[in-house]
Amino acid sequence: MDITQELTQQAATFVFKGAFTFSDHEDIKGVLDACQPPVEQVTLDFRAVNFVDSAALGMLLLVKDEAEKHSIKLSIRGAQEQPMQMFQISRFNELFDLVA
Amino acid sequence: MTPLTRMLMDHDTVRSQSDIVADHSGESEAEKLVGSFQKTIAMLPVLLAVMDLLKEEIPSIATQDEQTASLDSQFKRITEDTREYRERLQLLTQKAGTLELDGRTISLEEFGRLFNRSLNDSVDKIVNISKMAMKMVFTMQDAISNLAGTHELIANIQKITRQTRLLALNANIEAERAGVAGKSFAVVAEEVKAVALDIAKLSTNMQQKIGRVHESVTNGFALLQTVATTDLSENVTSKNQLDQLLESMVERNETLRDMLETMNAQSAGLMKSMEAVTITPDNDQHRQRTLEQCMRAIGHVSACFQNVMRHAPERFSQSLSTRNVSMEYAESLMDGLRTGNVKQQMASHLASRGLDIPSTYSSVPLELDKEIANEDIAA
Repeated sequence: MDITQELTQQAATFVFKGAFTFSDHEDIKGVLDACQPPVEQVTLDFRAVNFVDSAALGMLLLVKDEAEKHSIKLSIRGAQEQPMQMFQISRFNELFDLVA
Repeated sequence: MTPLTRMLMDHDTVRSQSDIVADHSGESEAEKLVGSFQKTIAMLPVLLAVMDLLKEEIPSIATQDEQTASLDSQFKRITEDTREYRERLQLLTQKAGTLELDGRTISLEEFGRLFNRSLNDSVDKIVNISKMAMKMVFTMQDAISNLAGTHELIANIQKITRQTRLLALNANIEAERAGVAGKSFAVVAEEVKAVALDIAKLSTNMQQKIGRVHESVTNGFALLQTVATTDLSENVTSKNQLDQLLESMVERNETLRDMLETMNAQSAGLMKSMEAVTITPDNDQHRQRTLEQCMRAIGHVSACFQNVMRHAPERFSQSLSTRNVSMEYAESLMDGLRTGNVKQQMASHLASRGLDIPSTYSSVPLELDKEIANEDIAA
């Protein structure tokens, strides 16, 4: 999976592309590191993601913990098909701000 | 043709024949009456035969009754079977949509809630385990990174130790060169060398131990990667399928319950119809009693006919042959008369017909009338 980063002073957007699995754990460190002040808003763009596994769900929960630790607003944008189904089953809609 | 029908037809023939025979003109009223009575008497054997036949037929009706009773018992059995079937159906309706759990009956809806809760719990745990595994992965990566740092530190220590030993060697050479004055310095240089050797040993030991820890952590990390990379997404998505399966089960069960309730209502209607068809014991006894009463009545009528047949022709022919009026008849006739003259005339008429009329009936009419008048006043 490719992750591209768009970083401004207070907002960070990470665009994910492809299948998000365990093998992306090195790349996700960049997202975890970005969850630091002065950033106030982190957006994970999932429009181009076609698959997530259980490890990916675990990593997203770690990002959420990190964001909460620094009072950063976290949202996941444009999830659909299998990723959206996984989010619904795991009740991520109750944990994350899922936006279209 | 039943014997009874045949007998009735025979009876019609007999009657028409007797009508032809009896068709005489110019007979007096009394002779016509006698003729009619004789015809009636002649028909009595036919009636009697009909009675006998009836007596024979009624037991056969009773046999039919037994057949009816047999049919009735079969209906009762069917009704009983229907009742049992209905009870089972009711039990099935109650059981449909329920399950046994730890000796407790729970509805399918409740089971659905429990099942869903359990599935949600499982999914939560799977996701949480994934989270923990990833946290462990990151933690162990940090540990491996830190161990690598320790390696560098030990290498630095070993480097310093080597330099220290070199310094000790140089100090020893300089002490030799100084001669007696440098003897004490040579002792210090030897001690420094010994310390450097100890540090070198210790660092080598540390390096070996840290190397083993690094190896263990690296192995653990490999294992953790195996755990963390085990994809549980299928287990997560299976919850969706199980949810759908459960919904389908609940739906199917509702359909089944509806069907069972319909069948239940139909069986209730069937049972009611069967009960209506079944003859109740009360009706059965009543019919039996009526039949017995009929038999008794026929017996009585039959006995009466026999009696009439035995005595009537004899008596009737006697009275007709003598053409005499009995004394009893004469007395009753005269007792009914009030006027003395009429009574007297009647007495003389009867006397002329050969009857021995007492003298009281032939006395003066006025005296008789007085007597009658007195009797009336007394009355």
